[in-house]
Amino acid sequence: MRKFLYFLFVFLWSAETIAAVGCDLNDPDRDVKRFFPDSSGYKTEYVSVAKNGGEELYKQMENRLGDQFNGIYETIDVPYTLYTVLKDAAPIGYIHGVNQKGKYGGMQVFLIMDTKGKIKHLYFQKLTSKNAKELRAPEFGAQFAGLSLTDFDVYDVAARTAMPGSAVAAIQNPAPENTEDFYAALRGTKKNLILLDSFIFHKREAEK
Amino acid sequence: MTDMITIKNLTKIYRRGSEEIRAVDNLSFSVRAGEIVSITGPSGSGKTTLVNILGCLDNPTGGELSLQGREIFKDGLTLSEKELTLIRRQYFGYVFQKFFLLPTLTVLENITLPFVFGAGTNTDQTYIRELMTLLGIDKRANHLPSELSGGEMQRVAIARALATKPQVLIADEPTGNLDSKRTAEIKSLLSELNKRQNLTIILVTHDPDFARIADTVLEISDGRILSQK
Amino acid sequence: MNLLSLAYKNLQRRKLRSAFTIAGIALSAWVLVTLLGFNKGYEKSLNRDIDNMGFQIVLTAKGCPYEAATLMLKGGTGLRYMPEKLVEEVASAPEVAATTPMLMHAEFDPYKGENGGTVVYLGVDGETYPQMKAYFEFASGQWFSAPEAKEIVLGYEAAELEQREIGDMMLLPGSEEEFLVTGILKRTGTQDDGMIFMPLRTVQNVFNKQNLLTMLGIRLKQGIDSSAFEEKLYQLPDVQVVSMAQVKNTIISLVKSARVIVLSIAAIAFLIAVFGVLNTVLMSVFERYQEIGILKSIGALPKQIFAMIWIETILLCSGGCVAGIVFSYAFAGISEKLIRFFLPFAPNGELIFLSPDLILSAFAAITLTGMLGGILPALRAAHIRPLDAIRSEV
Repeated sequence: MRKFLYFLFVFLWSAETIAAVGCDLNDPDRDVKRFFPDSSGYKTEYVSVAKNGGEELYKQMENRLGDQFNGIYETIDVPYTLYTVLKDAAPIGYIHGVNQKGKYGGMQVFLIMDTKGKIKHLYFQKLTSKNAKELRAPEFGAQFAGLSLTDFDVYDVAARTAMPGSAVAAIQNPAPENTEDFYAALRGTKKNLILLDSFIFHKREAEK
Repeated sequence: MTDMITIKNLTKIYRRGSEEIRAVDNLSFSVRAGEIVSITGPSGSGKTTLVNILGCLDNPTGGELSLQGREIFKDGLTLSEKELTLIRRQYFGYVFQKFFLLPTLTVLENITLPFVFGAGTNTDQTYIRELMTLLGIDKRANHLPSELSGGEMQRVAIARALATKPQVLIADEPTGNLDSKRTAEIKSLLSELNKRQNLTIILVTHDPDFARIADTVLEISDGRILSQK
Repeated sequence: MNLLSLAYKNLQRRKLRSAFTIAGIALSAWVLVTLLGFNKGYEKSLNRDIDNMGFQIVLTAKGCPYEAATLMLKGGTGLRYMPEKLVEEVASAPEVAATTPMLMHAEFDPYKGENGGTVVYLGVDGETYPQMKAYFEFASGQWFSAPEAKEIVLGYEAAELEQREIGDMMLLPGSEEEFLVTGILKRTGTQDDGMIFMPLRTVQNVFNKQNLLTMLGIRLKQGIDSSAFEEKLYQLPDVQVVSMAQVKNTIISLVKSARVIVLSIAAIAFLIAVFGVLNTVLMSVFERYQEIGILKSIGALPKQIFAMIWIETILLCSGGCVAGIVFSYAFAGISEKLIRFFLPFAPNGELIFLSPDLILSAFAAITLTGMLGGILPALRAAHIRPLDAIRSEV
């Protein structure tokens, strides 16, 4: 009987679907502890461009990115999940992920940030690529450590060029034969930094 | 004048437990066509029981009753409700102390109500209108009973009783609920109808004044005729 | 004026009481008609949904999970295979209108998430599968260009998840070979939305499952007794038969048993309403005791009084019933929403189907019951003696 019900359920149910798709950590308890071993907890918030500044902010962010937003992962109402990592109730860092279209599939680019807006780690939660191994290697992620949005401001996403001599220009592609996924990683990182800026850092400046 | 109703040794006995009450006790008399008979007597004297048997609303216990020579009751034989109804339709119209008008029907609808049940032949509209004019309710045709005075309501009840052109009008305390002015009106109306239509009227009343319009006054006590004038 | 209009006017005497009585009948008629309509509509919609699925019977190897969700739960293990030559054997049966072979494959992708994950692929025949799933529509693109093409068609949600558009490339886990996305399906509301479709031959070749199948979808010719055919299929070695007819019958018998309970409640509600009518009419007979006596003295026969009172009952019942039917039509949408809310497995489409014959039979049943109920008060009225009525002091 249960088999039949289950079968029918699977075949006949009409799923209520979400228009825009967010990006969560698969196992936040484990991941937070891994990136911040001395943390005592974390707070989860759901934020969106629509709620934080609306159409105007969305346009500004698109300009700053230097590329058009498109697809279901980049709409104005995407519910982003922002993890604020705490130690004794004070924030010691942030974790935030975005979806980014890669060459062979969607990638989820997570940034682990300190409280000043600098990247501590880069983490691909999901990645489908011929060069997944190289991109997931610690050496590649380490090149992003210490960078902030200011560094990425000189990176032109559309043209895929960074100001010579800048920190972003120095980031090496671990698999030179696959430029698509490398540039996708850079675009995802810059997009993530812009979002974090408007959700936390810029907002904090303005409040001061 | 021919006899309209003839009764011979008419008796009605009620039983109350083991007690036997002779409401009508061996009465014999006749009512001629076109006569007004007033039946008087104290309460419980049996006058209403008598009039109900005369009007074929009830079966007697014994004795005989004939209408225009047609034998109706004989030797304690009882008639069914349907047979009684058919006889009533043919001969009688009734007016009671209470008017019993249907509150949701207009005056005209109340008057023509007997036709709904097939009493009388087709509605004679001209006759109904004449009757209403005679009774002074022609302007009230489309009013509801609640809009009428007591006297008007009793006149509507009389019109309803006469709509099927009965030969006998049975009126049981027709003015019991009316004031003296309305009572006088009804009295003269009944007298007028009697004259115009040669209508036989049997009246049960406490009012000695009715004796003035009656051809015969029967005084009843304990189911017997005390006097006949 | 006639008996009918007289009866109607009698009902107007106590407007509020008549209105409440009619409302009682209307409510119970509403429930009754809606439930009967639901019974019809549910079965109809379920049938249509099952027909839409394309195949009435799915043949799988014994013990093989036949839908992706179970496969995922099992971590992609437990698949069992049937030889492909089975297709010819089954397809040649005279009862069969069409068949479509399928090969489901689950592959572990070490880069899907932190600890990897299972990806399910469905190999389908580009010729027969689309015919079976006639309700599939493409959001963009089309089915495969060739039986062995390195191509992929994505369900709507699968495309969203992988951020794929037509012309994009995809990789299979552990392989460097690129696959072209040729089509993205529109949302269907079924498990197909999350599916990655590939040509059957390609799946067989890539995953080394030559000449093997996991499922065979079978559509029968019109009017074929599917249970008899299922028996026949069980003669084949090591197969299990998953029948939509079986599923449908189970669901319908579930719904039927629920319906018996609900209909009994509705019938009781309806009987209460009929007793309400009986009570109302009986009360009005007692109230009009003298009046009915007078009607008899002015020439009404017992059968005419019976008819008048009976007509009053019938007017109340039929009036309430008509109102109830109007409610059923007017609120069918809301009733349907409620049913969907409470029922876990409601099929798509019209759940409450109010056909003219259903309406007519409900009307007849309710009015007839009302007429039966009306006999008692009508008899009471018919037997009132004019004399008793006039004498009484009511």
